Amino acid sequence: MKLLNEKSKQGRSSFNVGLLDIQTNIPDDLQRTELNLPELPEVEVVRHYTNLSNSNFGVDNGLYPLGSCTMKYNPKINEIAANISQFNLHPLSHHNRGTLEIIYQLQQYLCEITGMHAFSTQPAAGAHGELTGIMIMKAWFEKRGEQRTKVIIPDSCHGTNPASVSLCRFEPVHVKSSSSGGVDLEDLRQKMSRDVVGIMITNPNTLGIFDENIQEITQTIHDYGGLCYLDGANMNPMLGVVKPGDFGIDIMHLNLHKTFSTPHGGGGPGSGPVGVVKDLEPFLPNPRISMKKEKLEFEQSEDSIGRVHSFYGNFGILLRAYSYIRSIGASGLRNIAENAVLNANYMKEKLKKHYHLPYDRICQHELVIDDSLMPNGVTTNDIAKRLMDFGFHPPTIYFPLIVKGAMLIEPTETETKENLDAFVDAMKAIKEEAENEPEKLTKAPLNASIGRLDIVRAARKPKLTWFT
Amino acid sequence: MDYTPNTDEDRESMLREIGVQGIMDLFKDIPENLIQKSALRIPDQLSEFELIRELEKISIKNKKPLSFLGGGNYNHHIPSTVNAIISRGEFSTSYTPYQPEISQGTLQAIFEYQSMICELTGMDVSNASMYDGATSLAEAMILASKIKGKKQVLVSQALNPFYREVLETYARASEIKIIKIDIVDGLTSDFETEGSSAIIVQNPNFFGLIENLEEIRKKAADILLISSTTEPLSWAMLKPFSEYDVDIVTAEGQSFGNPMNFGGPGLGIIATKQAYLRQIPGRLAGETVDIHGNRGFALTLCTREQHIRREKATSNICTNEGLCALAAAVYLATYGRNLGRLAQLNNQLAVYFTCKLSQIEGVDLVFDKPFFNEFVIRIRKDLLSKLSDIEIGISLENYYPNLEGCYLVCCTEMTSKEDIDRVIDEITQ
Repeated sequence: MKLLNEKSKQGRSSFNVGLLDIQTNIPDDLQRTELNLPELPEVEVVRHYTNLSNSNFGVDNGLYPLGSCTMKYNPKINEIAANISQFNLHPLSHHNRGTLEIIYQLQQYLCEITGMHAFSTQPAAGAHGELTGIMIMKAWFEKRGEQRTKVIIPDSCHGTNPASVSLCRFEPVHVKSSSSGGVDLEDLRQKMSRDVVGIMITNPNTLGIFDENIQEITQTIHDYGGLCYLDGANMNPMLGVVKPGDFGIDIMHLNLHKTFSTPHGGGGPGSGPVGVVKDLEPFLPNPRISMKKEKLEFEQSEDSIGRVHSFYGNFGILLRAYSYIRSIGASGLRNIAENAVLNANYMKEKLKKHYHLPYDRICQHELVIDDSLMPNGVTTNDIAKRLMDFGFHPPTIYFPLIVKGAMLIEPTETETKENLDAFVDAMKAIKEEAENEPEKLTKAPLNASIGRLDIVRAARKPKLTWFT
Repeated sequence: MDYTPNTDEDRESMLREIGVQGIMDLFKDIPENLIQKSALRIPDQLSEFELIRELEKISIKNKKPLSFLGGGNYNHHIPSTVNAIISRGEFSTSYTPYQPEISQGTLQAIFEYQSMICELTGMDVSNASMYDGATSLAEAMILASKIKGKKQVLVSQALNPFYREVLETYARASEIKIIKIDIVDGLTSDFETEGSSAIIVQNPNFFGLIENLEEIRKKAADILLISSTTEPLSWAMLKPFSEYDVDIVTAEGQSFGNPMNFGGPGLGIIATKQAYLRQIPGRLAGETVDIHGNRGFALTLCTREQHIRREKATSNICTNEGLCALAAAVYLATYGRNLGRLAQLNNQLAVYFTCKLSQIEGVDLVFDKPFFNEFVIRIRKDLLSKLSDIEIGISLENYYPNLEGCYLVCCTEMTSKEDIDRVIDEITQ
């Protein structure tokens, strides 16, 4: 499809702005002489983006089982809620009681759901929450006058975990997974010392397994005075069933754009609130919103790590999450966990008849299969591309790294049994194609708006704007 | 509401297929003592109409008087095209475009966004977005210290105070030392570059004033120059940063088609010279071809990123502000060159306001220098008290003790001449 600048013609823009008869105060030598933004009539702008949207796939288009991303249905009512004009307020306005009430109530709900003592809603995404959490750990040990340097991370972790750790000048130390998919307790014990800041753990982990030794793991960390951070990306199957605060977690983040259904927007905006136990509350980002004598106000703490966002986080996303929690209520939250886990296990049982299941056990919200049984050199990437032809978004591929040729599948609770069956049928058909007509897979997608893209070329000669 | 479609019958047959008796058998890996026995203490579910009624009840506790607040978040008109496009589910309910063949919409839109940001700033490379203005600046600070290998930066005190707080937070974690550069008459004053990797300024600065980037560049000859903007509409009127040889430009892009929303989601902009292409944080969309030779787009140079490079990544950022960048792209495409006229109108309204205010005894324009759409006034207390129903500006004395009784006032196209006249009337009555 043509680019905006290729469709542009001087004088075409219809979006007129009337000026006043007032001289500017800006000297000529500070002003720009040309502005080459594209010029299209409004109808062509709308058609351009409408046509672009037609070559995009969202949850609104079909099953999107992208593992660890929780691509559930994003209720439309939450968009209406987020567009209530009275909430579109300047962040420094003092007439903000309604807005503060939403943030405060949401903090309370998140505490109740996770068993944490206090939440800050400032972090703008999961990785931002991780960074905030590690900053809190750093500030905690600084306050205690302890110099610790190492953060334990299981090898099944999200890539953001070690990246967040190294931003805080700590050293990530990886622990192995056991043959059953959990943390290898022996390896963990060997790596423990008084130099360990704590652990960053994802539970259920990225194999979709709830670590049955989670209490031993957190106890081991606590025995050495360390802190336990939970990457809450996989909170969905725990809603109303189990609280991280009960299994020894000291700090965690939630991804509101995953568990709490705010749309992912093609890469954000998200929101990554951080929750902590009581001892760590003073270290949360400044300012916090708290209740003093039945009045909501901003509160500053001396021990705080400081501010991590220009203002107070992604309020537009917080409002959607609040709206979601209120609309489904307590019973709805538990329902999510149960059905997410049911759907994943159902799919696992059906898929294992055709694909290799590296960890054949009960899973939580997601499952991993791999390409080890595929004939004719067909790879996970080929399967992913061919799934597009069947009308599905592919799963997360080649992740977690500990499974060669991994496909991480998270169906979520909002899919019908018929959708799950259709996906399994497609996977079965793809397996048969791999045996009989492998070129259909290696050349896939065949029906998408564009053929398989040359990723290597994109990186070898980077062209990142229409100027170069 | 309930968005789980499984019927009792579905559940029965699925459990049978799995080979377990009940749902709780699927949670048997969770130690028994951890399983919640009672329901969460969260209110019962609501229907759509009950929910909206509830939210409206809360929303009216907010008040929206006539307001001249700016300082990092701006009340601009959002063209009707923007919401029509960004509310399309194909865009809004998709994930980061890891699978380019079914994400061409998002990817081409990002590529075009990157191009328009480069046109506005004059820089060579823009990424797909960061969280907001403050965090993109913090990432620029970290980037600069990596490029120069010096863990010290100079920060102008004419930078937005909240941004300075965020820099402090990130600097503490990344063990970078911040040296504060004073302000003289509203502008960044002299500085020594020795031992530092970069100087961070804001343009237009927190007081709305246009900094002397030419002078700053000369003084910063041997270090990087990082410029932050909170009101990027000014770019449509001012010389691009490339003309001052700025190394890294960061900004808050909320002004481009995104609502105020109590300060978030914003749109973190970061753009650099070509030389820093391989060190820039975040996603980049690049052009390539498919197997038939057709032009297409894909995320590229991913070896900089956390999911490949892990602890050696240039940043930990994953989810950014994709839909806000899309809003900005639609905004810029809708205005086209008329964005320059919009910028002029914003400036004209601010100039008009200062002309009117300067005729009033008891109101002073604190800095007599070129500004874009924000300016600082000092106003006598008795005059200020006449404006109880108007948010005249951001009180500056909390951030700058020597600016007692001073306010940062902002005009946008949403401010009408009548609004300004109303303020003048109320003060002079």
